[in-house]
Amino acid sequence: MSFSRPSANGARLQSEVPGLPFLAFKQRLHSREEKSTNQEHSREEEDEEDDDAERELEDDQATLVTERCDTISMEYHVVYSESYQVPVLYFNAFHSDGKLLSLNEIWDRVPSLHRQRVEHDKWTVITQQEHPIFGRPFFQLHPCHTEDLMKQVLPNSSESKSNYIVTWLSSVGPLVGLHLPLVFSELCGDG
Amino acid sequence: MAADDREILREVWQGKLPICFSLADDEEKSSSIREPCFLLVSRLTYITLIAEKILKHFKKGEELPEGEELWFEFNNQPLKWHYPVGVLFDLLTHNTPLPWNVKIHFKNFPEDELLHCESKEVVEAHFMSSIKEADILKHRGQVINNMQKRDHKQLWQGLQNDKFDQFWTINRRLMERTNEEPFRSIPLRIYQRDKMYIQRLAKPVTSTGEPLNLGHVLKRLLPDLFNNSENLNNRALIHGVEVPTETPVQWLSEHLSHPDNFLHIVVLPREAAEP
Repeated sequence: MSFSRPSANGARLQSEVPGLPFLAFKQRLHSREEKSTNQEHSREEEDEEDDDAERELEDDQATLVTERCDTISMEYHVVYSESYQVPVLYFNAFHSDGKLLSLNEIWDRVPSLHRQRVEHDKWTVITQQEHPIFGRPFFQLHPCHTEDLMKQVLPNSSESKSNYIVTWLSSVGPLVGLHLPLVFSELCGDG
Repeated sequence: MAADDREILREVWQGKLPICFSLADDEEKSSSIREPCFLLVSRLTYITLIAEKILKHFKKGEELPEGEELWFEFNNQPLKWHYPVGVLFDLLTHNTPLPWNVKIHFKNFPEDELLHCESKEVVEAHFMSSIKEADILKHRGQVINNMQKRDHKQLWQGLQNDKFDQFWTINRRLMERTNEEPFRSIPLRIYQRDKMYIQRLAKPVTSTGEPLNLGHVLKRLLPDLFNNSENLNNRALIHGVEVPTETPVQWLSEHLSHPDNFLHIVVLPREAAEP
């Protein structure tokens, strides 16, 4: 799994860690509404290198304005799970004062479309876990349903890997506020 | 399973550590009770599962004020509660005099290092997701997915209440081989000081069906530490015991796995392990 592609607004995806494929991006959300059903994105042309990593790549920062005017910084990582043999989405979300959002706040921010599932079985959808590379606490979108989901979304298993990642991320990302910039859809065409 | 082997499961289950919990210096002012609390704690449990006892002792069972959360520390290092107690002990203090002196805190929760753990449900979710992942590795998830919800609860209750029979009645099925075949992969994690643990796929047999032993696995996953010569400089501990490297990993997985169904292996430099 490896692809890297510059785009009009500097957005890139990359994953190059020997043995442990890994990909990261960040966005900043200002919410106009508590419920994130109508997420609007306006992108800031802002680049902020993360000290963290040669392997980590700054992507783009998206802005979403809400009433409470709390700026929430999101950080998303995709790490391949050898156990489940699927990519897994890890993320952190910080208030503007630097404090981590609580698990309850994360659950509350799940859009209403997916809310029922989270309320029914929240402990198997999103929990806090140790990041498998950095060893720090991250929220994890559980991988146990990924294979079934992808069989439905991508019935043709001969699809390319980049297609798989983009399709998967655009399917599960909205649960946790991640909306891929449109430019990634191009990867599905020629990936 | 041979009777002798079954005895091993029980021995492992009964492993306990004497721990002395005392208030961290900066917490002393706020508490009227400063006497330390001595507990005999199972090596297999999670340290946050004894939170009730700790709070009962130091806070007379009162709820903590908003913004405070119980956390544990040893030698200025916050303890990752999601590692079993025995793993933390082996990794951080192996062979130091007992009891193990652990400091407790209520303020300044280090949320950049520790997972929050505000209720037992958090521990249960972590425990069950480990068991599930382990079964994905061993049996493609077929055993755990065919269990009833009440079986899952029984595994958790068995651990939480320290009931060997309650736990093993169900866990036996997770540790069985399907059609006499060894596991697909061995669920294992290798811990070293000041490093992230290693979790990679580890097969129990070679492509021709020859059993692989602990030495083979260590050489493959930690080639710099376990090369072909005698492993004089490092040793691998499971439940605090140095296991012979010629032990087949399939056998280790069946008998020395933690209740979360993973083998937790602590690798230490020999001089640190034997002061």
